[in-house]
Amino acid sequence: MMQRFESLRVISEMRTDEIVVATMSAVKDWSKLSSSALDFYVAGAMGYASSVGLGLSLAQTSRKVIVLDGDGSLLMNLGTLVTIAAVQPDNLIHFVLENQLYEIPGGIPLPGVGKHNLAALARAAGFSKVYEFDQFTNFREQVGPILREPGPTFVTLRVNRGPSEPFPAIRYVEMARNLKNALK
Amino acid sequence: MTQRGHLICDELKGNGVEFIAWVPDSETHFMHDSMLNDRSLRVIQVCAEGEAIAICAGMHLGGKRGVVLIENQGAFDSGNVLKWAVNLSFPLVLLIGNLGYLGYQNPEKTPAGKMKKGGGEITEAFLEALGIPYEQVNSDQDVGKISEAFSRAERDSKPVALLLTSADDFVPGGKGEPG
Repeated sequence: MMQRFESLRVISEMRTDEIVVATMSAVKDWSKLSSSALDFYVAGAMGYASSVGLGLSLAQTSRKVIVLDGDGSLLMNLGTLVTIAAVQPDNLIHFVLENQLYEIPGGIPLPGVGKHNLAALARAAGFSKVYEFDQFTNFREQVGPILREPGPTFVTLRVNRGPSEPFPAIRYVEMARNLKNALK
Repeated sequence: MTQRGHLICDELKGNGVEFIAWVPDSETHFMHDSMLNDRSLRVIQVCAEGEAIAICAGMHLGGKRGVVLIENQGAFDSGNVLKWAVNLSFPLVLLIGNLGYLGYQNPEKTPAGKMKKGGGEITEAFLEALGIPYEQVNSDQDVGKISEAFSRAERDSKPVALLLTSADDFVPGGKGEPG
């Protein structure tokens, strides 16, 4: 089990000019780690961060796109794994933060915890690069090469539940405009 | 069969469209060969309609233009992500196969007439509830409305829908019941 904030901190320290699309609980941590114009948060469309990331990867082929998804979110849009594997964008890295909870509505366990395996689902969908981490040291050592290699790449991180704290106030329309301008 | 598929592809390209995010739909079957054989359009086939909307939103953020091509029943499935696109002021153009609309006009004419409420009433009410304006594209002469939809989406910073019907006697999957 890894600390979610520390895991995301490692990604933020290695990040250079990648676009980052985060959703749900990851936003709470990422918003403390980054204020880049290349960040975009998907809220109000649970499950679709990876689809937004796929669209960005197709539009911005010379730039990498990092998706910071949740396990509950991915379960709402599992077809995205098949779609991404079919399209094969070499610039997309799909991280899934597995806390096995719907954390925001109060820490409700996901359906099928202990029975489903998201990494196996990604492999079965057609991803050839799939990584699973539950030890911080291993993740810290390997994340650099993972970020640099051609994708599409799927990475699961077994993380703890985050602290109870309010969701940050985000100006989403402004954030979208800033990202669009940064990519012109 | 009309040349509408080619006309629509040309209209899309004339508006800078490079991608079509798509779930196959029996009402807009006339698009299939036209767009899949068009080398200047890249078709991204997705598993479910909500993905198409989010993918086109991502393309918009990345500076490229994609359109969504889905069936009205898939739009119903995608209510939440459509709401999100409205809230985010994304100027997306949605091509929606209006399954049931022709049947609503003439229930004996098309198999989709058996689900007349799908097109004639629910699709429009659904889009109105989301605040998404729409136009009907039921003939070759209506294809010019696509350019107007792009202009309107950009001007008003919101999604705009075009409701497409096939206007022929195509029977999806043979003579079986519509979905």
